[in-house]
Amino acid sequence: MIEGEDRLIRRARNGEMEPFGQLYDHYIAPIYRFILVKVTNKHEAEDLTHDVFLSAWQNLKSYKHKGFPFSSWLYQIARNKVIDHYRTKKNHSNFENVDEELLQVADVSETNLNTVLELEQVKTAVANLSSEQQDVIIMKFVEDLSNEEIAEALGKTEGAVRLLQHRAVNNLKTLLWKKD
Amino acid sequence: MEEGLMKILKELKSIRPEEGFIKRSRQIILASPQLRRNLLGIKISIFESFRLAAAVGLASALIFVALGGVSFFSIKNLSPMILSSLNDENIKAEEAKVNFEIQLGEVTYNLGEEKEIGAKIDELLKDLSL
Repeated sequence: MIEGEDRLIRRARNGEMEPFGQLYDHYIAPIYRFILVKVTNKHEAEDLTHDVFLSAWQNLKSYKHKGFPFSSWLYQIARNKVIDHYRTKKNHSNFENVDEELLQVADVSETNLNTVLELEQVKTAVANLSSEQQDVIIMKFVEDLSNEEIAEALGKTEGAVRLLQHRAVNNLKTLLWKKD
Repeated sequence: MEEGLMKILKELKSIRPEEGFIKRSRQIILASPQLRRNLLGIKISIFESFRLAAAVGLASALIFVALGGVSFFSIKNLSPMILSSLNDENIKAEEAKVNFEIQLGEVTYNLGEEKEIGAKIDELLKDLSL
């Protein structure tokens, strides 16, 4: 959460561009990561990320601050955009290909090759979880959101989020170590 | 094992979008208008709301002028036929006639009563004389 986020949102709701620009700068990376891990395609992730922030800017007047970070609302929009994307998309991406983005994460040197391969395996495993389990894994373990924030973003109770998290981690372990 | 998994997942946090994409996307988004909801709750852009307000204002002005223009014309000037029932002089004559007739009626009633009383007195006098 940005310091003074409430004030930025209020000013942005009045049509001021610069405050929304600051919100954009702060949240573009986590939203992009969230979408990239789910759609596994860089260009699609860029398009969808752009759509998320465009929707947020255009519909900012309908946003109601409930004490949660602005990111909770952005994640809600992102989830819906991904769902709509899969509804209209005919073929899913080939999950077996190594994503270029992952190669940029770590140096592709001999010592780090294992890291890159592990990343590819984890990404493939995450992509095989249910949509909600993916959401919890990314928000909790990649973006470090609290259970309360995740519950708000997913429209669930904290208890439901904890249960989802537990199942997601177990499924992930099964998928990863079953291959070994 | 789980620690290793968490460590790998944390590695994903270093993924960032390209700077060129961020710059282009930001510019396009901030250049686009925000949406408002009109009175019917329908989302419209701010520019469209100004257009709608201007259209409603113009239509209201035209209606006002049209209604105000009608009032400048009296019925006499509009219709070649003068309706006798709407003639002011006739209306006043009828009013006077009504009052006159009411007055006459009252007088007739009063006269009638006097005659009756007179007849009763005559009868009484005749009885007394007997």
